[in-house]
Amino acid sequence: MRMVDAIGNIEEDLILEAMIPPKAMVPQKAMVSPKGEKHGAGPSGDLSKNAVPWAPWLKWGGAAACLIMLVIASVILLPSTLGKNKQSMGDGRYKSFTLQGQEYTSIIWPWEYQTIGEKYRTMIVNGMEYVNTGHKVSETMLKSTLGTFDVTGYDEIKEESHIISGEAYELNDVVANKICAVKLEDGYYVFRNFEYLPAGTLGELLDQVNMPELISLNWFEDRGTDSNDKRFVLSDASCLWNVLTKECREARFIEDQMWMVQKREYLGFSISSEALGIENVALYVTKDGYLWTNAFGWQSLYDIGEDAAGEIMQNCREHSTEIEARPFSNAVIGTITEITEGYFLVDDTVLCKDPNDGITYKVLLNDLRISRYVQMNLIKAGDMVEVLYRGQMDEENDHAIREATYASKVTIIDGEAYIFE
Amino acid sequence: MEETQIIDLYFVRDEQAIKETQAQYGRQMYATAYHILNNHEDSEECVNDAYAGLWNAIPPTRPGSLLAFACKITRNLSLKRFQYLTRKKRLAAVTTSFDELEAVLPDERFVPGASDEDIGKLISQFLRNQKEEVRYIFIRKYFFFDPIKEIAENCSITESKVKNLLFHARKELKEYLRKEGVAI
Repeated sequence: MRMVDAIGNIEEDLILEAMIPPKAMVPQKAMVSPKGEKHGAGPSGDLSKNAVPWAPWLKWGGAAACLIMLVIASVILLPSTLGKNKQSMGDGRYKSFTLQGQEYTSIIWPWEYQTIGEKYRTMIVNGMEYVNTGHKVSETMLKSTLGTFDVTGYDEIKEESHIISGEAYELNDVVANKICAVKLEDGYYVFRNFEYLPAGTLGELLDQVNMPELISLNWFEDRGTDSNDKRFVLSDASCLWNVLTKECREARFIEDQMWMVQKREYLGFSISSEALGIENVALYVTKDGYLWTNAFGWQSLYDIGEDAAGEIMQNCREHSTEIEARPFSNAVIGTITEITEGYFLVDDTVLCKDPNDGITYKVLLNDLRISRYVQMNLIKAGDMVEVLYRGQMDEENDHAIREATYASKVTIIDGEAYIFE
Repeated sequence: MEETQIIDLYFVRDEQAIKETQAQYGRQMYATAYHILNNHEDSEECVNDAYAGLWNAIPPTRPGSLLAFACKITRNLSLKRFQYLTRKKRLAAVTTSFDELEAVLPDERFVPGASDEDIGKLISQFLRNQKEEVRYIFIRKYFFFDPIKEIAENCSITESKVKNLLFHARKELKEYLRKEGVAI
């Protein structure tokens, strides 16, 4: 077994390289141009040399610049994420199944198929780098202008930088050296200072960011009672904020990268904020006296003391209502039965115990994040797909999905036997 | 979410890191475990253990590639579980790979003091000097334990061609390790 163990220590770039077969060995039909024309594989490239940090196998030479970058993984089995989701997705209609099949594990879209928020990512102001969170903020949240600055994007395929001018704005209730908004083509985007600038006390942080005003408490989980895995909503957010703003201003910032919430008794809040450019991130209050959040990109940990933490936990428990748990991301799975210019239909009959229980979902192509899959011929009628989406499905109107963001091909197996391919 | 951002989540001890890892790499991790264990429940359990392993390892480790690091942890845990499970029975596909590697350098032929990490580096160096397709096939077979048939299909070559390439790669590796002083 020593050789087997030793091979477990081969270097990581070699493992990554082996995630896809060498180009020379792959049939060329996998590459499709934006117009649907089939192209050759393009110039061969050493994937390991061309690696980029977050998707090392996704680079391509300049001559193939018009091509979409995609990776089709070999046969895979989908783990428990979907297994859990399918329970809530099917509402009891679905038979037991496992998903297996090809998937676009990651895609670098051609520049013209990226949203503005995906294209333009960084901005330097007074020597500090601000990074686009990808979240938009409404004009009503803007305060005063900070000036016009260069906003930079990078075309991974053509290996070209793009620079545009963006008007930067201070936001209400947050200091500009932490967060600002930048006007791009289709709206105002939240840019976060990428430097590590923790406030020394919670009071200083509250002065910099009016957290009670800007942060929404979506729900919380209570790890300390017998209600594990249950979720609650507060009837009054002041249960948390009153104690923090009035009693905890002197709470010191703690520099402890090893701090962990596990094994502590805590309330864990899911929080969102339009102005901070965050969605479903965490804020913990622990019984042993800590406040922890990653709302500002980095860990923010403050020692608020056991008394304040206990008061918050008691208040929240007394002023909350249990809610039904929701999956982290919404998804539908089924067969594409029709594609038009404005939408495509996904029918989940194949998943149902009783075929009469099948539902057809209408996925609107009003968003580039989903329409590009159709435009690039990555999905077509007859394909079995998984579609992720945000927001609510409109069950009253054709089960319409208005904010689909991602699609991938899947295959369903029933036990060990394929029932659809 | 980009990989570096997920790693940052581990560093700030945000449990969202595990959810993001699961969403992006859970499938590859599962496939890695499944090729070794060939059993859904055992594979799922190993992948869950691998998430805990990632949580405990990052920080202080900051992997160059989270995907490769996650697959490494999954592989190690799956092999341990495989050894436990195969006290009673042997699973043909994986034990064949073990036997082939054992033939390259039997356990008792390792020089004293040669660590698995050092030998891993030597094997990496050896693979870098191989053609890209040989490197791919070798790693798919002996790191991920993919079946020969699957490798052949992915590469659009015959199974016998895969076996032939593996045979020559093992032979060369054996000679390389001997020259590097790893084998007695």
